[in-house]
Amino acid sequence: MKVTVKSWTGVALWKWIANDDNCGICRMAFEACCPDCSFAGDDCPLVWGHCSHVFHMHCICKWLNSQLNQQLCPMCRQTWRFNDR
Amino acid sequence: MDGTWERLKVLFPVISSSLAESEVTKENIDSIYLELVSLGVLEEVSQLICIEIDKTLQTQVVPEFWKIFDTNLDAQSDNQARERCEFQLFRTTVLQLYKKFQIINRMLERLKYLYEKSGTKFIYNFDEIFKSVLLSQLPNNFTKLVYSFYHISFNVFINTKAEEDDDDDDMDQLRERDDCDGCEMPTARCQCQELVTAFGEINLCLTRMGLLDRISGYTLTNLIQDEIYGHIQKTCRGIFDTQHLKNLEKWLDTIVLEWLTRIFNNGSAKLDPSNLKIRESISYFQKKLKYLLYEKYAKTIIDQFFNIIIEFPDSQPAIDDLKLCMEKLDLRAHLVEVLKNSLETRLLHQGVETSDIITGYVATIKTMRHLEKSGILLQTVTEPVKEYLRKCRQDTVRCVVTSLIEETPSDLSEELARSEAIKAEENERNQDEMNNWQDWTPDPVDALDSDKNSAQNRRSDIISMIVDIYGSKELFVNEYRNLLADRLLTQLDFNPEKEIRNLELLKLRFGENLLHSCEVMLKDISDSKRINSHILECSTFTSEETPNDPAVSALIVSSQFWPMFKKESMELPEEINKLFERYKKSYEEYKGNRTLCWTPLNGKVNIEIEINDKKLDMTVNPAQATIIMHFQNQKEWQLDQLSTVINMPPSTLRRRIGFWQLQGLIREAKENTFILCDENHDQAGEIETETNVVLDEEETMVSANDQREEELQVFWSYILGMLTNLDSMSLERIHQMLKMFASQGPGFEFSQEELKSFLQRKVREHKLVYSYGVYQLNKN
Amino acid sequence: MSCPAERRLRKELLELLTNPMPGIYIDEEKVAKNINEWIVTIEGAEKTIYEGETFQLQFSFNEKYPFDSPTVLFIGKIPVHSHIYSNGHICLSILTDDWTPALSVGAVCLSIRSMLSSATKKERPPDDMIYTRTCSKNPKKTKWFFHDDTV
Repeated sequence: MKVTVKSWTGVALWKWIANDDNCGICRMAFEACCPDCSFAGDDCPLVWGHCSHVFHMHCICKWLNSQLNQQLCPMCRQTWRFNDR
Repeated sequence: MDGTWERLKVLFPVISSSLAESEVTKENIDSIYLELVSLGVLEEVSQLICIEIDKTLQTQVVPEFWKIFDTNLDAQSDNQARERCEFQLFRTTVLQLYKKFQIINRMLERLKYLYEKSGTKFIYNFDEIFKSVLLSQLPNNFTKLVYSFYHISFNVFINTKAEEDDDDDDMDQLRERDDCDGCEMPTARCQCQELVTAFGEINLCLTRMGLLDRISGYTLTNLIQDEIYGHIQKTCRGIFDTQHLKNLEKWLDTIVLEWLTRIFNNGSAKLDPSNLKIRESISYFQKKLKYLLYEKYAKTIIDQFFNIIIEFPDSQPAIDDLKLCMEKLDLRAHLVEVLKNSLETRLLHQGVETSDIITGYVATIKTMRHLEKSGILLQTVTEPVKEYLRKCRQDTVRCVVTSLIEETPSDLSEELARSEAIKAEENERNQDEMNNWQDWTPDPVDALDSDKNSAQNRRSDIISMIVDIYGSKELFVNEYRNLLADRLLTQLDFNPEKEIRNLELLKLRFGENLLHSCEVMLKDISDSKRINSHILECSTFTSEETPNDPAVSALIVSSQFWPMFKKESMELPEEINKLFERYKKSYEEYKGNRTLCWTPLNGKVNIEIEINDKKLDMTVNPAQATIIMHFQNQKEWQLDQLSTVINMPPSTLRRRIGFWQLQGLIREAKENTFILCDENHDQAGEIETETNVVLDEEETMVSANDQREEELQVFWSYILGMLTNLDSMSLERIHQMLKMFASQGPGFEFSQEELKSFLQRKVREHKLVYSYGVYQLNKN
Repeated sequence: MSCPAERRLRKELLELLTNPMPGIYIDEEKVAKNINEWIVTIEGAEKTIYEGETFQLQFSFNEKYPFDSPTVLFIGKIPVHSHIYSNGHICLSILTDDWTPALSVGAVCLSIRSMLSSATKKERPPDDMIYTRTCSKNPKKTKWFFHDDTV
């Protein structure tokens, strides 16, 4: 007997490569979107800080924009700097 | 003295208890007068005569009359013949009674003459005495003869009438018939004339004796009721596509009324305009009968209501008739009772498929809508149907969703397609309602209390009514999501345009938010196609490509928006694993910071199997493909051996090998040893040669039930927390609390009933204690 | 659907109810009626000077939550503590200047409970009289000078 696979369609879940499951700001899963979005992934990306904390981009921007003086990471209160990975 | 007595006997035979009449002249009376006066006994004799008349009435006339009514003709085998005998009996006995009545009356005339000659006033109200003696001896069963008498004459009348109304064209045909149309006797022995004469004669006798109403009235009413009922059954039963009410009224007003008029009006149908008394009683009768007609007809319709529902909308005319009847009569309670009952006996039992119950439910909604705009009856009669579906049919939502989106048009898919129109209508109606607030009408009093506020609700469309079975849009949408996921993952030929169209229509009904997940799911499908073509072309993937590689593709899903995937794992064949690894690497490169987690059991595989000079082209699921691929290089496997290699529990593996056993490719040589059936083996010839075997159905998603169970577990920990905190809570309070989380996701919605059964289960498991209407933790 | 603030609050509530924190109880019913007003009961921790006492905190959230901090104050019986004014106002930096959206109701309760636990003496802040007479009703309007960062 010879079995030839002509085509194989698999199913995969996509995941962010991050050291946490949920966004510390909106508390939604990273694979879900922030409360202001409808679609996750490309439409609602994650960003990393130098402090290694990760948030939905929309969430951290909203927070940073609301801060007048300092730009601190909500998790560790270090000065927030984007890490362009 | 003796002579006088003898002469008196001739004039008044009653004094010797006889009613035999002899010839009497005026001279006879005058002479007896003188004789009695000279004897000075006029008064005594007169009184004696009156007493004798009373006695004869009591002991002879009346008993003889009623005795005939005791005749039992039930032994007669032929019903018609029995009726004819009874007709004749009644006729004879009435005639005899009338004869005696006349004889007595003539005696009384003479007595009166004697009295008046002596200058005394004669006071003896015979008519009243006659009536009261007669009626005081009224037997219980006297109506049978009366009924037969009028029944026969009514038939003759009706049949003759029908003949008159018949078209000339039919005449020849009718002439050829052997039986008379009137009396239904052989034409040669037609009794019509005789019957009609007898009918007139007897009615006249009864009228003269003042007995027509007392003896015939009740029976007549009964007979006419029966005739009306019979006529309705004959002309209307089972025919729902025409309105009958006008014709029925016409029939009543002409035929029945004319016959009645003949009875009361000495056989003539022409009523003297001056005869107010008869006119009055006829018009009273007419009103009563019309009411009766409406009632009988409406009840006939109601009795057949289930069939009317099934035949709707062809049966619309029947509903229109019922509507007219219900304007005059209050039949709501009756309708509700009968319909509830027939729905229960014909729809709500094990033998009926859920989809058929839903079809019946939809038809009921449509029919009742036509009958009553306010929807209150509908609400009441369909309550048991809803409850039954809710409690006894777990596949209700699935059936509804399937029929909503299936290819072949169904009530529901048509209804869904109308969504846009309905939305527009609704808006318009709301506008109208605001503008025409003066036209507001209150709900009927029998509206269920709980519905009083939901007039708007009751009027909503059929799909909403269906969803209403569960009282929750969320649950319904959740099931739709599960079905959609199943289809997207397993169906080969799914049509994205159609799915998107369906989704758009559902969004109109249920709102964007609830269907958001489904939207993401469909977007995942189209995104996957794009990502696929990108990856298959990128160098990371192609550089390692070998010519023998199968075509690989992936469906990349956003886990948060799909129903839960089964957590089961499986070791894919080595070459496929490598391909998937390469695919994953390319994806990571393409998307940056994102990776893929394969769910090895999901997907579909197209394989070609060459065996015994035959080629099989099949589409199977990944597990089946993996299994058969392992038999390529090793023809015999122990169950646990293969189970370890594939990383699949033995029981599951066995079930999946079963697929290949059915195909005739693998057999279980001895317990737990599976062998490939190739040319060296005996069963080789039996291999299924048919190509493109259908993919066997395996649940790819966690079933709705299992998922529900997981969701309930989340709630359980929450309920535990709540009860630790608050000590005891009622069902309503717990439900109210849980409802708050409904917006957290589709799974969070559930009905109070569902919660109750969940809590009761926890009580049975001794986790909770239920007493005095509140739940508490079991602290023991 | 509800606004982002309410969605986050529901998530927090669900979390707190499924995994209750010791000594901290939510008045679910009140929250069910209005998700933007929470009443939380705090038990004085064992082996502290507040052991056996319970206090009530009132949280009010606006639509900017969690980007804006909640208004938190004690109601009813006010614990006697050097950072808690007799009108219920609390002098705690995370409630104003040091608030971050990563904080939550649970985290705030925990901080307040440990602030109580670390006290050794029951006394009001030294400026209690003046503050309570002059302050705004809303403690968030106060420009706090944080007395002691160690507490």
